[in-house]
Amino acid sequence: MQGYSGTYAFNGVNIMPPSESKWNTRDNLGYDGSGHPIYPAIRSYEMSWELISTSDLQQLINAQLATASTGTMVVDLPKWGDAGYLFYSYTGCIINEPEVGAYFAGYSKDVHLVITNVRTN
Amino acid sequence: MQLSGPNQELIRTQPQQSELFLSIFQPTTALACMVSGTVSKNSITIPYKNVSSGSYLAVEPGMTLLVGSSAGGRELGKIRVRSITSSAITVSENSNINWPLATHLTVLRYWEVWPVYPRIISDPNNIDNVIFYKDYDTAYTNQNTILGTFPCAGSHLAGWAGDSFYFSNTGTLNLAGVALTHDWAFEGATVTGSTSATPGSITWNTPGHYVVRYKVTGANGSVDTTYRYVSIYNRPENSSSNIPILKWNIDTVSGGRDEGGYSSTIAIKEENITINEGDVVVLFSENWYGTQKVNLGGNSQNPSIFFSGHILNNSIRFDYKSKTTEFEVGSITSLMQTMEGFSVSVESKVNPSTWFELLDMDGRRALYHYLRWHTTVLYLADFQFIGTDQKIQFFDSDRQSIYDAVDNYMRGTLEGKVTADIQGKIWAEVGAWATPNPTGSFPTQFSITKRDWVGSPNIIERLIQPVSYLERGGVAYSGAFTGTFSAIISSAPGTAPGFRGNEDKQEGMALFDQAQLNILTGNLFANKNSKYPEISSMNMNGNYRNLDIAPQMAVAQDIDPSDNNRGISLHAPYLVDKISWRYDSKNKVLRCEISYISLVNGDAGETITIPAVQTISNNGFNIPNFRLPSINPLIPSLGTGMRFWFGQYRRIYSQMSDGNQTYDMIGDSTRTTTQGDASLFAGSSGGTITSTGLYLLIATLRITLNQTSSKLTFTAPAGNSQLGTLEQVAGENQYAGGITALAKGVPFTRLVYYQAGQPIQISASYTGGAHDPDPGAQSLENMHLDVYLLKLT
Repeated sequence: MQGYSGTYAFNGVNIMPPSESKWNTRDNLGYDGSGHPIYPAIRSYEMSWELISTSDLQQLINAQLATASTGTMVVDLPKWGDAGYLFYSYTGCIINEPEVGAYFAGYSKDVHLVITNVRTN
Repeated sequence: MQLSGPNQELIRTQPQQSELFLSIFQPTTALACMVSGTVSKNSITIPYKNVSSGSYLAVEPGMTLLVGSSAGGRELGKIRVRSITSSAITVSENSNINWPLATHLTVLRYWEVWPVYPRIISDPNNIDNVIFYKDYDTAYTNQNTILGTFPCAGSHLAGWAGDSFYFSNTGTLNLAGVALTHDWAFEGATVTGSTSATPGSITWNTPGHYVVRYKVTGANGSVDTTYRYVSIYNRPENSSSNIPILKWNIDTVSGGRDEGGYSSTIAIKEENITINEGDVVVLFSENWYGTQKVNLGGNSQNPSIFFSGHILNNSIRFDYKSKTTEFEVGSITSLMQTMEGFSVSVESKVNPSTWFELLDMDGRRALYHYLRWHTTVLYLADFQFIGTDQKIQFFDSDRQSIYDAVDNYMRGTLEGKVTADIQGKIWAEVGAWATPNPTGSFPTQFSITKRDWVGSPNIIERLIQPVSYLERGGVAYSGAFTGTFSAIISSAPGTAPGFRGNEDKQEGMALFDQAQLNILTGNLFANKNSKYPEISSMNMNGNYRNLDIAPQMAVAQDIDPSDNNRGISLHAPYLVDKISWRYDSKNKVLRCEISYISLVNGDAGETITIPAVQTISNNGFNIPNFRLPSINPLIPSLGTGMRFWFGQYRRIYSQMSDGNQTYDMIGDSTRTTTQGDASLFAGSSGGTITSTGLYLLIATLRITLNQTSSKLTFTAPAGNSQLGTLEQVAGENQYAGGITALAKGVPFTRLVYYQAGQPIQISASYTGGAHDPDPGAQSLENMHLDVYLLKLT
């Protein structure tokens, strides 16, 4: 589904845009007899916040708890392989548990979140 | 499974994504009640009362009965239901249920694999007769004449609410060749039944666990039934209830033809999971090949089913620390290997009249008889025989596992194998190596090139032939109607073995004729000695679910010299032998590792002529003429002992004249003979026979006999039965002395019946030759007579 907004969202609800984010390199599962690398079909996307409020962090945590180990989510991300910076809604994504750094003046530092099971084909 | 050309390309498309889901069938309760009264051990009729749920009308033969001391309990055991009335349940013969402690009974809507025991009793009307029953009290009527059907209904199924599954009876075979009527029942589906052989797509919209029943009736009255389990779930992203087990993992699902099927280990990290030994486990899948979401592969009509099997006995383990339940699953053949059946013996007949006679038997009919009447396997799995069948006169199965009973028959009789595919169908196949023109009979269904494997292929090369001589033998039986048979043996490479390797012999095969056997031995020999026998553990870069260990499948290997570090060029058909699928749940990748074995054609072997069987006459055996071997004087004592009688030499002279003269030669060691006296020796041992019986009398003579045409005759007792004759042939005499060959240590043997009290006597008489040129030189000299007497009885 084509996203209308250029922002990050979980199930259509915007989240705090990360300080940095990227598409992770897929695992190389080997090379076939012709020398071509073998990749899995799914990708993962990583987001990080240098400083995030507790309420914004709670939104991330709640998203992960809502799906836990049984569910998936629609996540709006910058489209893989797009020539521009157009967002795309990817379905069936899995939210991993966020990594959280130290508190600083009531904010959380160095928060990382990985979205997996993202089909970009 | 052979894929179409476009699908063969699709299954290679990268990247691939496979997601596996775990389903464990949870049967519903047909009847829950309590035991009425006290039931003794070994009971097969169990009265019941206080039905708390269900009805006896919902109970069908073959269902599983749980026996416990509380509602739903099973701690006292489980047993197979045979029939039910409104007041009692009849179960199979048993001694393992502690019925006196049983209070609660639960009949599950569930069929599982059981051995079925025969029963043999003494005929009350004829003490010399026995009566055979199957399954305790099923008497013979005409079951082995009308035979029956291998019913095929596909694999056990699992999927999402709203999914459709395709049903057909492909593979169903009636052994009498009669017309069939079909009765399908689809519990919980949008279409609840069908009378078609191919009902087509059936949809389930509501989550739950359901039973599909397929009953096939032959026009001659045979009835066969099979059941399949269908588990329907909500998608986890859409619901939190009625979803499959999600917190689980699996490493590999591995299988091989030698093992007879597949096995795996599954770990579940969810709590409140109820699993039991024998439970049906299904792994279903969703697959993407590139951008296309489609399920490809598998022999079943429903390719979303990746694996179907059972929780194996004694394999469930619970780790209390990590709260993980781990268990092993295996194909139905793995379950069959853990259950022992009784011995079975059946003979081929034109008009069967008992359980141990079967109409014009061949392999299919023998296997059907065993599986239908001695197991419940056909309730739960498709079974199909592939290959050329042969008539057999006898089918004998020892008491062994129900898997070994059928597999040993295929191995020993048809060079075949019984193997389950990954979706749970059982294939009984004549081996590809034992098939005429193996490479032509098994055309390749897929080509493996370098884009299909990861890394480099591991080609096994054989430098020394392991088999130098292969011999196979058996009986070509024409069937019960004509009743002729012939023993056949064949060898390869021929009557002369190769120069390296061991011999490989097997007998007891079911054959068609000598030509067929010669082709078989030649192909077996060639395949057992092929130069590149195996491509081992080839890692594939996708799931390649179109490949399976059964039915036998040939793939073309296209390996160029540049594809391996030994520069081997290999372009030949190979059979899939072992497969191991590894599931990476993080990357959602399912990839396999396959081992292949070679498939070649060989030159025909050679006939081994079997010598004719000797004719038997006079209601016994003709005793051929035979000579007792030379026996040296030193004979060990046998029976009651031996009498030794030694005679000393005598020298006599005789004056010969024209014509024969016969002289009685009597004498003893002290007598000197005089001229004319042809007495040589006679005497006794100085004793008499003390015990009536049969004796072996052995005499050896050494003598110098200077005479032509002379004859020494020994008699014993004196004057009675002739003991033996030492006769000189004219021309062999030596005048100047020397012992003739005839006279040197030649033994006489005679069986003599002595009465107690008879004297032991030997006498020898000498007859002179008629035309001796030198009458004065006639002499018998240096005679040494040894006599032995052995009592035999």
